[in-house]
Amino acid sequence: MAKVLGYSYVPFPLQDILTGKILEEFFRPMIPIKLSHGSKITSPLDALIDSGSDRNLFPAFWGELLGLDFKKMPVVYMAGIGKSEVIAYRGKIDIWVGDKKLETEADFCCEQPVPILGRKGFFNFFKSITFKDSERFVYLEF
Amino acid sequence: MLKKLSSAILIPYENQWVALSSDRKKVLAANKDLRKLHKKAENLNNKDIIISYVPSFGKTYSF
Repeated sequence: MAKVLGYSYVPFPLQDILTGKILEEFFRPMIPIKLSHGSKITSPLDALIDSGSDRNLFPAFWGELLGLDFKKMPVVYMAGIGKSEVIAYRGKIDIWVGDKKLETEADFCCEQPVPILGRKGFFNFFKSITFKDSERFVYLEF
Repeated sequence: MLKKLSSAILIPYENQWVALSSDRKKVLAANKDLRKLHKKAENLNNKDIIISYVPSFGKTYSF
């Protein structure tokens, strides 16, 4: 039987760059997840569900906390906007969404502050992921 | 019942890491350094928190 989890988008302030005034709220599809590796598990942390990201990408700190040894992990190069690239380290971890454990892998880098859930390693675990912008909700169907 | 979330509580914490209550109504701790924030959060002895990053308010993002 299908199980669907729904999460409200998370509002962030958006500022007028000319006046500095907070003009409105910008809603992002972020969900609380936990990461684990062996016996170590993190606190719940907000991660952005990003359909435009190829893979999961997390701040290096979370990998350090899980006891990952970056020196022994494959180096990968991440590209986004513009021509710059950053180095990341790829490792096997578990991602927890509610009580659902996803045995997956993620890339860790020092330059990325916001945890990102991408297509390979997150989206592929679900039957569907539906963004309902009019409701400001995202639905994850197992 | 759905609770309406507000971004107003985040305004003092631009470019910082925050530990939020699980209902996202309160900021329990904040720091510009994730390591320091994590230590603060551990000292709260509260497992019902969410650690989140508050990006700059003057930018839109393509992560």
